[in-house]
Amino acid sequence: MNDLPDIVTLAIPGFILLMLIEIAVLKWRGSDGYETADTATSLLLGLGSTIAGALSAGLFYAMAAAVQSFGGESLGSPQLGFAWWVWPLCFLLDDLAYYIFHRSAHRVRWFWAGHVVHHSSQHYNLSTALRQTWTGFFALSFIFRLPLFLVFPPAMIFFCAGLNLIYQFWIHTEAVGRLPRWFEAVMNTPSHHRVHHGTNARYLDRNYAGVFIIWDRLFGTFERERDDERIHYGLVHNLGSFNLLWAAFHEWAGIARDLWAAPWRHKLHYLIREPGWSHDDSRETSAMIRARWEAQRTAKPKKAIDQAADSL
Amino acid sequence: MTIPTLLGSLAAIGIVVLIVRALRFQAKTLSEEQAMRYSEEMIAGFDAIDAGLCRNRHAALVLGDDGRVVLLKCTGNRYAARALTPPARCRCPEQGRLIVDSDERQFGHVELQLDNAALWQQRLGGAT
Ligand SMILES: [Zn+2]
Ligand SMILES: [Zn+2]
Repeated sequence: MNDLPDIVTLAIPGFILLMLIEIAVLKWRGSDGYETADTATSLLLGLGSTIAGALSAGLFYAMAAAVQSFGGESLGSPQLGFAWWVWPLCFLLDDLAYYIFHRSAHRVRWFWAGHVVHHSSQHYNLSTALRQTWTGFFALSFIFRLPLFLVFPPAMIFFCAGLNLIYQFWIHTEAVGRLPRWFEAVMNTPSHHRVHHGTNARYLDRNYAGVFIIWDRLFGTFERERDDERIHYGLVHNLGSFNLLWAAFHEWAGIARDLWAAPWRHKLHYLIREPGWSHDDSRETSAMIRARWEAQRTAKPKKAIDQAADSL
Repeated sequence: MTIPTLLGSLAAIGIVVLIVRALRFQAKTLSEEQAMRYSEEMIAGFDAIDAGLCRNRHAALVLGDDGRVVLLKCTGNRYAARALTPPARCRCPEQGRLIVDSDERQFGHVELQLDNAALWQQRLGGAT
């Protein structure tokens, strides 16, 4: 049982096939949903991320094994083994760990510096799903899954995490509208995840789910996709460039710049506060953007209605 | 990751990218009205009152009621926006040509062919 297949590698041909189908469908519909340089950047970031992941895998396995033996020997935590009922439990809790990781990745700048890469495309298509970070390990994204190793077998966790990743691939598309209500109620879907990639004030910091949207509904971060508002994908400050290295490292460069320039008593805040935070309020966090948008809506309700009508 | 897997992945990426290129997903050109709407949608709280469109219709400047100027730059077939607070760096090397600096190295500067470049230079300079 310790040799479960590496399902993500097995899924790659499927990823490519679905991408080609999506490209054909979007072209057929006359959409501008793909762009050459954007696709190249996304796919090369994906490849680089796989390489970076392979390089740090050894360290991660070592940590996972340490947590496992710590759980068994020092804490006396039960080792659940491979009984049939352990699988769905592991998958569910792994998805919860993903939700916590993902929410932190948007709320703590150090974590965001790794995750931002995934949001750096202004497109939303299947190639965007593969736009992944090169610095996930450095950004400590692995710590959120570590507690699972206290009770679940490592091979099972890696398998569930792989399934989770594969599930998240297909929801990165504008080619699929809404799915049946029962499905949208429980599962993360293209519609819910489009909201997550939107930079519209209403959509900022919403829908962190991996597989099950229930976590967002439970913890108050859910937002429904609206039909009367065009979604602008990407970042609040879009890169405006297809430079691969800039896409991979720009937020780290920003952190370095801020650490250098900030007064001593604020330096730490530039690492742990939310993206957009600044000690002199010279920038905007998502909460500030949302507040400004709310203020404008109340002050000029007619304008908001006109805009909504225009974008239909 | 082995060398053959790496080469295989690069080949697969190349093929997908070439297919996207061959299908020519075109960049949308801008109208003044679109430029104003995009800037309002992309910059929360921004209220556009006037737009200056580059003659190639791939870049624009949009003036807001708060005096800020949004610079729209075509990136592939999308537009990236920066809200500039005057005074912003720009120069007019000859009539009808305005070069606006975003003050960010990677976003760079945007060159616009504008009918009323001098007016926009004034606005970016902070003149009302
Ligand atoms: Zn995210
Ligand atoms: Zn995503």
